[in-house]
Amino acid sequence: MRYKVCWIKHSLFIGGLILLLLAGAHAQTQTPAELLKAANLAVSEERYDEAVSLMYIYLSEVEDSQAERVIEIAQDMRFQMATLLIELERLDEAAAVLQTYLEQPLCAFPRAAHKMLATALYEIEDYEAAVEATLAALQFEPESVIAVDKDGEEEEPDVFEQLKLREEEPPYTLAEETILHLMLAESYFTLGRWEESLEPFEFVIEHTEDDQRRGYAIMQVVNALIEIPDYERIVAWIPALYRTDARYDIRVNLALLNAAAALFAEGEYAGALPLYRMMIPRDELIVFQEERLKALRVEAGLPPELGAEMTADEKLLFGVVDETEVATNVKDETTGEWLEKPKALIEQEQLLEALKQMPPYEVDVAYRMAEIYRVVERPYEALAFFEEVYGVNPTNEIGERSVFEMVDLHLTVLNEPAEAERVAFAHIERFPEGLLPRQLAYALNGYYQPKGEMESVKSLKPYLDGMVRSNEAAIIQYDTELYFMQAVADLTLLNYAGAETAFKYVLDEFPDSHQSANSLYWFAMSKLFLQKYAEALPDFVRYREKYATESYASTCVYQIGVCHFGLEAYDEALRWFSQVIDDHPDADVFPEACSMRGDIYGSRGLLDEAVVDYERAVDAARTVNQATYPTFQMAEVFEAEDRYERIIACVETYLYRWGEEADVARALFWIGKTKIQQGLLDEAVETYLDAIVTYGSNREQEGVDLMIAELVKISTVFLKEEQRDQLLASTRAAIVEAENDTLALRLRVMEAELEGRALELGTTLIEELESLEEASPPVLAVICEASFELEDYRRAEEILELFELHFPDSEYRRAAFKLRVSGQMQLGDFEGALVTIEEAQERYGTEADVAWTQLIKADALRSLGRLDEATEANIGVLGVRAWRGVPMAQATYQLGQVEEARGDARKAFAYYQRTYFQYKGHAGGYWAAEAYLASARCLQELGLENDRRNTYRAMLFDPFVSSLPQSEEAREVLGSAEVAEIELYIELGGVTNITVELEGAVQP
Amino acid sequence: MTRGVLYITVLITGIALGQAERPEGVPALLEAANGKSVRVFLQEASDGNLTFVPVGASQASTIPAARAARLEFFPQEDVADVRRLFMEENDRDTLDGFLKPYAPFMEIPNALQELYLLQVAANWQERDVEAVKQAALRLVRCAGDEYVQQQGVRYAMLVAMAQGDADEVDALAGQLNSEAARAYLAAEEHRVNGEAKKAMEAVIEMIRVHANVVDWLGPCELLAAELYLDMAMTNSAIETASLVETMYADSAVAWSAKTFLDEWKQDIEVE
Repeated sequence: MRYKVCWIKHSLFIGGLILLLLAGAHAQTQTPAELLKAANLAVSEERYDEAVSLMYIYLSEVEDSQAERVIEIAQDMRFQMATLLIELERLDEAAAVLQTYLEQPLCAFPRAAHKMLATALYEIEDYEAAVEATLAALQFEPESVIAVDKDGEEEEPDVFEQLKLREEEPPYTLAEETILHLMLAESYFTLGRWEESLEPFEFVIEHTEDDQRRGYAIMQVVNALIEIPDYERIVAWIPALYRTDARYDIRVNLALLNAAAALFAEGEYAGALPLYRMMIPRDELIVFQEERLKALRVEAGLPPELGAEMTADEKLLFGVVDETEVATNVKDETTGEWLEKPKALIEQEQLLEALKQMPPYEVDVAYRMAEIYRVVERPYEALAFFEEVYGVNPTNEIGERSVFEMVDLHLTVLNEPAEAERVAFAHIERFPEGLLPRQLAYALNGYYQPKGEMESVKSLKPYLDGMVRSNEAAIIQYDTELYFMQAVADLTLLNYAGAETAFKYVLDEFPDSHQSANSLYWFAMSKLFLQKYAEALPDFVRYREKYATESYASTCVYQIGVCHFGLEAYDEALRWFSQVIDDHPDADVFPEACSMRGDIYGSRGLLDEAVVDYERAVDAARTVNQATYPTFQMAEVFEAEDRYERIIACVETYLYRWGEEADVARALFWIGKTKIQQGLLDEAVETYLDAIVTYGSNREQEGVDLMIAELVKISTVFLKEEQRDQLLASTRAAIVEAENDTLALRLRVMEAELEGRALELGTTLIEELESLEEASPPVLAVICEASFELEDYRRAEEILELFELHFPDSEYRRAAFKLRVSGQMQLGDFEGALVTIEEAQERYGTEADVAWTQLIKADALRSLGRLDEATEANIGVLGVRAWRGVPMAQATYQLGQVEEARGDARKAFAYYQRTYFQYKGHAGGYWAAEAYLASARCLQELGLENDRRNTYRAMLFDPFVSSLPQSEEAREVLGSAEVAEIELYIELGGVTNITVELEGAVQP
Repeated sequence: MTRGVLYITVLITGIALGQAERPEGVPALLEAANGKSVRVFLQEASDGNLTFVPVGASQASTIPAARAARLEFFPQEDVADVRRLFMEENDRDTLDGFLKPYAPFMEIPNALQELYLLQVAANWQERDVEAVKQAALRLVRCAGDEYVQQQGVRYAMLVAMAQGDADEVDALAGQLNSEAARAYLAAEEHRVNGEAKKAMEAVIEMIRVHANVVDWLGPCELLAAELYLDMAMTNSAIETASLVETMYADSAVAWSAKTFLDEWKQDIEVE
């Protein structure tokens, strides 16, 4: 296609005006007929502007004529003139001429005129008028053409004339109708008359054969529906849009983006999602549109290549310096004329350029889709798109948001912490700077902490340490919080030493932070848990001074009291507990303060004062635990004073107030105990038995186990044989009737204890119970005891785990720890044994009956060759008052073993000797006997045979050990003659002072 | 008078004869592959052949079904009404009764295939495997309409998966003509094998890579809803199915989504 001649419109207008004036001057000398002829000649010679001028003159000359022929000619001329004006792009003039044409009688082409008028008005963007004209065109019927008689009067339409007219001007083709509807729709749309635009757009969609146009019309429908708004209808239209190539139209694509954003903003995800999905990636769209542009260029007679550079003179002439600017003119190489490009080509170039200037938008689209999937609870789809966005750029805004969303989805929706860690840790390692790594760690922390998964919280520590520090306030705040959480995790894990260090770190590294007060309090608490009362005390004092209005201020008063209590400064403790009681009656720790003061009073024999405090604690209790302790402490006091009616009163008050929450079994235990003391043995037995049967099905009711122990005690101490038999019979009957395994097992243990065959039952249960899920602590305990006896450690681990899970505070758990550790030692799993021991020690500390933990720990360390630590562990036993006696004997003996292992026989000998000198009266002489034998072994090692024999002799003279099995070794070494001599000597009342003094021996 | 009686007698006889001569079968306009059309009474379609009696002929003709380009039926019922009753009121009886005479000819492209696919979807929802299998065999042969033919392959594969016939699944997979279809059916296969997570991964891949292939995306998204239910993520399942019902409104997959939601609601009420 050739370019049309390019005329500058402005110049044309001026030229036309001049011609009009010239022609006007000449026309004064011309008749209308001559003007008509001249105009026709100008048209035939393509002098359109001149022709138009002549036509204007002609029409002005004949405008008053009433002659039908003249009117007919004038109308023809108007039609022709409008055609020329459109050709000359003088559209406003064309519109005016057509308007006149349609208003005058005898117009031969009304349908075409309506269409041209509508087009002209649409092109000059007079949309209001274009709507009127288009509607007129579409509604036009030839009947509306009115005949006019000679007098200018209207006549009835002539039917044959109408038929003739129809033949001369056939109805619009479907294509023409479609174009008219498109113009109408676009005009409505531009005028914001959205609802009215829908019908004509739908006509276009239904009838156009151009797929691009159909798609465009659908898009405009969607846009109009967004404006209305009517989201349901949008969703209904989307599948139709999917099926057209219009999606490749740049304008449609951009409109899709806007439409989708509008729908997203309105929460219309069912509409927004498919629109986003439809978006063609920018590069793909560019490729498609470049091909289209090539086709348009070829169609316009231009080479298909794009982007040929402009020459220097072209740039000078047109001032085009910006490469992105689209030229609307192009130089015709053959004629040298500047030609105007086709409108479609210009538009295409402009749109393509705009597209190239846009950043790739598909990543934003993917992010939006991810957001939608997240909102509509489709987490897996959301994850996929967030991952895609993150993969493109992990450090821009949406990339960072994406990785956070991924972690959050894994944690909060999918409950996949391992996946969350994988994503978060990878990002933190790659990008340890800024806020995001902190936020990710915080998200993980927030997931673990409420679940009590503190080990997982601790796993964040290396990543926190790897983050790059900053002075930015927000980052400091996050760091403070995260390290504070680390310290809290240590505390919760009972790693008090770690907590102490961690809270100190927060205090040192983040001074005056939002967690400083809390950190100081818990720093002090960590030390309190470590029984470092003297060190904790000043920190609690400091907290009160520095943070007098903070949440722990009143609690600190109580904790100061606890510190003094721990330091055995009871007067001071009393003063601080009193301060809580007097000054902070609303404090959370008020009941505890009352109980503690009550304990002090009780220890001083001030039982009435103690009871007052316990009662105060009970009254103020906010939790059942705060009430349980003082209630049963009161019971103890009342028992000591034989005030059994008070026991009943306080226990019943407790039961009444706390109902199901109360430790009912323990309460009944006290009631039963009271009855025993009142001599109401039968009632006590009945109370206990009833309570055991009533509450014994609940494995967690540990008070039932106390009652079983108590019943066994009553039976042994107080009951007559007849009563015992009755109790036994009742127990057996209850076993038969028991519908619950937990209860049945408890009763079986009671039966066995009553009959003194608990070990036997334990042995049976080891094999009988495949699952221990129904076993309560005393049942587990008899199994532990039997296992220990049989050195059968198969179920040790399982039993310990059950205690951990269900009865962490049970007294019976100690047996499970011991069994487990013994099993590990037997298997040579010394490291495992040390871990279990550590756990037991954290729980029971240095209580009297857990000395074995320290002794076995020392033994395990020796077995591992960690001799210094083994020595330290054994010495640790010697320093604990509660472990005096047998444990010290064993520890001293074990110190000898350590030295023997070290190869220092002299030092080992010294420890062994000390053992049999100091501790021969303990453990039936067991450790002394072992020490004698070990001493002899050391002396043999040193080549001191005489001293060795003297040691054996001393052993046989020692009445604490001479009859023990170990003494057989002495007898064998000394021989029967010497042994007989010694025994005779002893029989005759002789004693010996044989001692072995070892030169160079190191006294421990 | 006599002449008048004679005329009436001839007329009645003619009508009676005319009625007697009309052959049985489904009236249809058969468009042959060469573009010619012929009015026929369809007799049966089996073994790849179509048997019919042309209007005016007395003998039945049999041609390879592939030579029939299209059938135009002339149902007396209002098709739109039948469709509405099914879609909106779950009226299976009307749908089944309506389609019964036309069902045997569904291997030839026709305007009722869309309704037939609704019926197949409904049968699949009820896991009436035999009915679906029979329908799928017909649809698979519909070479003249790619969409319908591919739906046939889809249902045939679903049936084979349900029956654990891996060889048949593999054989049918070769007939799938798009990556999107393959991705969707791979997801279905994972689900049948109890690999919900893998199935979900395949669904996501489908959504990411073939999001514009709506013919396959709809079923795939519904599958996502089913998978979420399998994974006990009820809210996600319900949200997904609701979105499918809205996004693919008035389609077979939308009906399936609606049924999925209705069944879930019933389960909840029972619980």
